[in-house]
Amino acid sequence: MRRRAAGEARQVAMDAMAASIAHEIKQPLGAIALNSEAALLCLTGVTPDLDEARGALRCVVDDSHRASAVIDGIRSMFKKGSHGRAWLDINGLVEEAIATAEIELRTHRVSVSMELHNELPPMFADRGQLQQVLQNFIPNAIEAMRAASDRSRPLRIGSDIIQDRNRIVVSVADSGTGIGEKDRDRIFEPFFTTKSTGTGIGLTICRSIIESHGGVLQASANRPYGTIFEVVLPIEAAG
Amino acid sequence: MAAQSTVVIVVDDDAGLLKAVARLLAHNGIQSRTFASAEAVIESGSTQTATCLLLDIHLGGISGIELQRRLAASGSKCPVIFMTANDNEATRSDAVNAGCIAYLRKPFAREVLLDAIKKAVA
Repeated sequence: MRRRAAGEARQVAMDAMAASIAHEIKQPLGAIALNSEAALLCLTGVTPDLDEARGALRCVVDDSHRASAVIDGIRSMFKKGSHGRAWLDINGLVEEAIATAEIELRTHRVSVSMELHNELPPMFADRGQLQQVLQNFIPNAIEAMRAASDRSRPLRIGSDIIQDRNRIVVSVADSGTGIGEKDRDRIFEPFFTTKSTGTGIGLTICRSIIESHGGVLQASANRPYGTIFEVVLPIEAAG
Repeated sequence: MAAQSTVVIVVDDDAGLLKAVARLLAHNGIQSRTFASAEAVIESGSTQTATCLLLDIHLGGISGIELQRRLAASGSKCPVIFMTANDNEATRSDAVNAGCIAYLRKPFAREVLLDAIKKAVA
C-alpha cells in the first residue's frame, strides 16, 4: 500500500519536474525564435537595419545562455542526490543547510536559533533531495523577512518527534511578511509565486519530494508574523 | 497588414520575450505596449484602448487567464491571445473557457503570432 502511494507521489514529482523544466526552457526558446526572425527581417530589404539586427542577435545570445543555465541548474540538482535512500541524521542535514546559507543569513542580519531534538532516530531518505528541500526554505525565509525591513529577523529551526504518530517534524519559522490564508495552499502549486523573481516551482518540487518519502509538507501562519513550514516524515523501523 | 492604429498590449513576466515580441511587431508596423505583470496592466488602465491583448498565462501574481476573466466580467470585448510555455490540456481548456481568439504554444513562429493578431483585428 505504502509502496504504491510512494510510487504515485514520485510520479507526481516527476510530472511537476518535467513541466517546470519544459516551462523554464521554452521561455527563452520563445524569445530566441522571435528575435531570430526579427533579425532576419532586419537584414532583408533594400536598407537593412543593422543596429536593430545586432540588438536582436545579442538577445538571442543572452537567451541561449539562459536556457543553458537552466539545464546546468537541473543537472546540479540531480548531482547533489545520491539517487538512493540511506539512513541519515536529519539534525545533521539541518545544520548543513544552515552552514551552507551562513553568509546569506549574516548579510541579511537574520538571527538563527536552532532547537533540535537530540534523540531523533535515523531516517531512511534521499540525502540530496532532503537537502534540496531544506536549502529551499532558507532563501524564501530571507526574502520574506527582507520585505519586512523595520524589525528584527529571527529564524527558528527545530526538529522534534511527534510521539503518538511515530513521525518526526522539522520546522522552519520565519518572521517575514507571512502568506495570506488564501495563498497558503497555492504556494505549492506549480508556477505560483509571491516573489518578484520566483519561478514558482521550488515549493512544488519540495512538496513532491516530501510526499515521495511518505511525508507531508505544510505551511501555517507564525505569530505574531511570518510563516512556519513543517516537514513531517514517518519514522521507519531501522534495519 | 493591420491598420495603423493597431495597438497590441503584451503581458509576459519574461523580459526577453517581451522585447522580442515588441521588436517583431514594430517590424510589421504594429504598435505595442509591454507589461511584466497583470497588475501593471490593470494599474495602467490601458486595456480599453488596446486593439488586442497578448497574454502569457503563467504570470507571477494574477495569471493571464484570471486577468481575462476579470476583464470579461467588467464588460471588455477586447480580443485576447494567450501564450504559454507550459501547454497542457487543463490550461488549454481554462484558456478557451476564459475566452480567447488564439492560444499560442511557446516557442511560436512569427507567422503564427501575426495570423493570430490579424484574426483579432478583423
